[in-house]
Amino acid sequence: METIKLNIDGQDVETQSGKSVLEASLDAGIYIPYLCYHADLSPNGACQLCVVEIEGMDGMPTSCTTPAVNGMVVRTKTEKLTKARRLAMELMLAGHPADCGTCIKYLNCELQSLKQYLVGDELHVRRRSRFFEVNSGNPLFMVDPNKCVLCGRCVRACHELRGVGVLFYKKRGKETYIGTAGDLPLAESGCRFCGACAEVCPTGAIMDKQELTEGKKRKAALVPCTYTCPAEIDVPGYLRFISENNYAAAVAVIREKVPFPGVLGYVCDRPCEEVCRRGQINQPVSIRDLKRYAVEHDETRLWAENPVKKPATGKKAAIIGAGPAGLTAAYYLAKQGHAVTVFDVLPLAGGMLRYGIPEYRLPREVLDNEIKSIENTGVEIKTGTRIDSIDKLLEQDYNGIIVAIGTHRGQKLPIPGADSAGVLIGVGFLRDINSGEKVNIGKSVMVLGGGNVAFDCARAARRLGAEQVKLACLESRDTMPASDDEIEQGEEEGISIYPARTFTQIICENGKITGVECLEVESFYFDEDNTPRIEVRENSLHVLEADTVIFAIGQQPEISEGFGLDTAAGNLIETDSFTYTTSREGVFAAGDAVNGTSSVIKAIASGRKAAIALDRYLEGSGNIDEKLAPQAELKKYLGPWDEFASLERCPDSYVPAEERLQNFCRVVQDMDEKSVEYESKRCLQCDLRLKITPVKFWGNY
Amino acid sequence: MNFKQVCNRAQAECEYLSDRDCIKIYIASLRDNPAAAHVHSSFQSDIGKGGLKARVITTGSYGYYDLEPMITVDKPGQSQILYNNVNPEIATEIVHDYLINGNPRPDLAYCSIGDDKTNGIPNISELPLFNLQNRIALRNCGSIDPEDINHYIVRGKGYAGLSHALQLKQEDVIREMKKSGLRGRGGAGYFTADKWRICHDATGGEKYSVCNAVDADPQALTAWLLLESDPHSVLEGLLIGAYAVGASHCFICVNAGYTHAVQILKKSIGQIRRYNLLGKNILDSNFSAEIEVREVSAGLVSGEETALLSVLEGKQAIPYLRTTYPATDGYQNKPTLINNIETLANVSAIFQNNPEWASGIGTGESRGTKVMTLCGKMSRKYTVEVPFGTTLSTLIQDIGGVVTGGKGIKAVQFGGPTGAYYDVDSLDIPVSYEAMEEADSIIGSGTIEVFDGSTCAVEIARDAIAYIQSQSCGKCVFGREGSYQMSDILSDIAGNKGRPEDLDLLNELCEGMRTGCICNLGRTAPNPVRSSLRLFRDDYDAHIKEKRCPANR
Repeated sequence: METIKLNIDGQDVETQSGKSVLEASLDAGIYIPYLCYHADLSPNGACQLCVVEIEGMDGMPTSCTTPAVNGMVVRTKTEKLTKARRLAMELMLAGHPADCGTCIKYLNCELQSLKQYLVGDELHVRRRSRFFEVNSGNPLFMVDPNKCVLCGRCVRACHELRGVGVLFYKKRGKETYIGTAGDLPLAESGCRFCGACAEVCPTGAIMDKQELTEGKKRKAALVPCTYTCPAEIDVPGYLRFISENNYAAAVAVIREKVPFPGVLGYVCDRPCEEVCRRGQINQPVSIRDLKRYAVEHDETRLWAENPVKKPATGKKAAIIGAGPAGLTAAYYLAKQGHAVTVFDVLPLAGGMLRYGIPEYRLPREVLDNEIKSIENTGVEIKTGTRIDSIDKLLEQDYNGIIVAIGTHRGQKLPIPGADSAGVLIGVGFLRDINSGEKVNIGKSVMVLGGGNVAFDCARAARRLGAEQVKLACLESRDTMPASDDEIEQGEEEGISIYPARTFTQIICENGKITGVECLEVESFYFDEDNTPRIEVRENSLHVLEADTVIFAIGQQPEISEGFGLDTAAGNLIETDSFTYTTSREGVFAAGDAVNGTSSVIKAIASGRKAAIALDRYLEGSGNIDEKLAPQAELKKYLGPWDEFASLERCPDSYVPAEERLQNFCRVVQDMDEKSVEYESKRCLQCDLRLKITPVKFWGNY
Repeated sequence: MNFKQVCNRAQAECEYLSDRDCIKIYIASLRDNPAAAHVHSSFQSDIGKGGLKARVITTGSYGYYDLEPMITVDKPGQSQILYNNVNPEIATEIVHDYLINGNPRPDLAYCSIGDDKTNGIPNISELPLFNLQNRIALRNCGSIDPEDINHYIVRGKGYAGLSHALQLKQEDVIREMKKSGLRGRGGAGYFTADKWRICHDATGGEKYSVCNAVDADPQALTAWLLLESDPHSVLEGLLIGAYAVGASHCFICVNAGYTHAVQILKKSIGQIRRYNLLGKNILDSNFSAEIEVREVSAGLVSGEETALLSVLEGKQAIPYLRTTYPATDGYQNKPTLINNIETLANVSAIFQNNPEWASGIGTGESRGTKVMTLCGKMSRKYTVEVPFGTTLSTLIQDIGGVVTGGKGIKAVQFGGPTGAYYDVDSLDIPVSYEAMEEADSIIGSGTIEVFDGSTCAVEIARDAIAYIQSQSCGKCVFGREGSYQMSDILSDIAGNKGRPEDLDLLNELCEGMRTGCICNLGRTAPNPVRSSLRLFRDDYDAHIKEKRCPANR
């Protein structure tokens, strides 16, 4: 590529051959107003704002379409040009709403910025209203043709950049507008919902729907899956590899952020799917199941080829708790070169992954494999070891500690009968089952609680032979905290659900439980002190029969007396939410012990961040990023796919209920490879949008 | 098959054409005229009944629409006689009275063609409609069967031009083109040889040759007429051009509304293939080519070169701003030769004769002839072809025959929807590229429209701009918004709601569109307004200052 020299406004400018006069000028910091030009699109000369005068050329050519030629002499600011630009600008404003103040794009609008630069308030051309209806019927995007200035960027983005081609120049009477063939909704026109049009639109004509973006930072609004994931896993990145049947690369992408891809593939509560933009069109992409498939079909373990393993630092780190948070933190600290020892009071590592979540939800081999990989980085795990005090640990020359003890103490309600025989605490009940211990329950079990733990207990009870299992909770049916598939599968397995109850006493006769006395709840809420306020329905006292009661109403960390850290409400470890520090220097905390009972992915993400904090404290860089996956060639071109919007999600599939109840074998069934490819291609690839060159406003030059 | 073999075969298949003893009756009309079929059957049956050795041939149209069906009777030993507005009854009378009994029926005849003066029938050389024309592009229209290639070969020197060109080197073909002085008939008037040279010299792989047969101007009927009446003259020109530049793939972009024309075109392409005039090693030379017909939806903008290229590439018919010629960077960024259909009909004539012959006609730098469709307040709203240099007033008075109901000529628009207006005093202007350029106007499609005094200049301009606005593709700001604003302003002025400032804005918009539009449609769109303001300022003043319309209704 040869260098070209030209002169712009008396200034000598150098550029590469192939660049336009506009590009040469902007690169040199000399601003020429433009609207329809965009760095990623071919120029079209529609707005006529970038006109210049060039010696030896007649008239006022548009600088965006004029190739820079050696020796060119260009003037960008003359009276003639100013007049021409002003006229062009006024003509674009003629049919545009006059009031900037009420527009969502206010202060973020290229047109507004240019108007300030080029014209005054009074137009001398005739204004008119174009009376187009605002179209809010499409998913994701709002279209207001009244704001459109026909710059044509969206048409070029759709046809040239993405190769989809659903937007066209159209006419309605005298007015020109941009629309789809037959004015059909985007979903019926073959739109890929990639968002390129909204990204390049210089006005408020095509915008993301406000309710989807309000209050969110740009990345979180546009690629919500990745930025809602507590660990910021590159979701579109690994879905793309899966669509190419490159499972090893997909797993590598996931492992760049978390060391438990398999576990998450079984039990993640998928906050990504809740916010998946595909869900606005029909159903979200089945991200978790795709992740699981990739992990189980990764034959080459590409991720293990270039892992980070920094040289030994000579520092020692102790992690208390071998659950997801603790093990994740240990993993990253070991890779940073520290000597890491993890202590856990239970006989095996895993924390709630092993002792809370039943095996039918998370097969043990998956967990064992991933714990092994963590140990392979040099992490030492000492199980069956209780740590009673921070001081004792510090005496053992550990330079830093992370406390990740989870919430292993289940709670009971302080109601009459709560201490009777036959009353079990859910956490202990599950721990016993998951340890292989024999558990005694009756024929009619009642679980109190509405979360996933309650369902774990109920479904485990069914598998242990309880003929009748009831589950009752404070929350109403739609606000039950358990995930929808847990509730659905639980009901299929014969669990009867009694929502919106509060419990007044556990009734015993002759030392045996016979039932639980309940009141129906009208409403409940948490007041300013976070105390639950319950309003009961009058005369609704009733008894639900049961011979066993399991409390699954909440958990707290199990902290020994004299442990040495300050605690906050709920017996949680008091921790700074930015620095992860506790009340003792050099001691950090992570996971449920800090956040309260929460999700696996949150615990993992928390462990990751605590590791960064401790690494910095130990004078490491705090940079635990690694590149495990091959550099993906991000194709800008998507191509046409007429039925794209109507592709339905592959339904989740489970072993039939009667079969499930026979044992604790895994209940989730996998898709076949074709379905996996299909499902992964439903992804809108929202991350492509972030790669579109951002436009600079004139104030930036 | 070489050219000699082609000619022999054509002769053999159409012996009646050269048979001096065979009577030939040619029926000329547009395809969609239902009367022609009836007239044909009438002749057929009468000839049968009379036991005559005759052939009834349906040809295309001459372009004299309200005279059709127009019959040419070629009786052995006699001059040909033209009869106008023939119906089955008249057909019967002609067969009976002329063919059998020797009475040519001067009362029914329009004129005779030939040297001897047939009693009572005007000779074609006496009629201005004919003697002011010089039909080169339209040479065969109305006198050959457009669906029979043999007619073109036997009666029209068909493909002799291609045969001649293929024996020359490409550079020599271009040189001959240069000698003829032919300029693009699409409106821009670029020297055809120069365009061919640029495309010939361009590097960049595969080359393409495109024929613009869209008739973007809705009142122009050039493409319609040529395709329905003499498609081969176009195909031959297209192939000569393709050979000259080195293109092997040709496109003909046809107005999608011309259903008959498209059919005839496709049939013709089949015919030339059978005669080794298409495909591999045409006429046993090294030149191979294919022709593809592409339908383009009608519209003023679809005649723009860049809009055509967009359509060929599968996009909307919307022009784009080009920084290089399509001749170097066109279809799929390859060198693409784009020629107007009338240009190509001229090309075949030039190579069938000789370049000097063509350059001998015309004036100044405008050699040859121009096809024009006459419309508006004229009695003969025909498609004619006159040499450059003919004045507008000759065209209107002598050929078109002005009809104004006593209200006089108000204005004449020449060149199509974006042509300038001329008033009664400026009609002596000769039609030529130089004269039009000096008058700040265009040749365009060559359409002539006459407005009479029952309308005023403001209304004429308002309607012109309203049409242009409706045809605007909407892409560029000056084209879209400029025409919109002008349309509103002229409506207001015509409705007596205009203000003096409106004229300033009108002028400003004209200037803006002239330089700021990205296609020629937009750049020439101000012509009607500017010429109207210049010539008919009084009309505008009447509406604005006196709130009255000066039209003589």
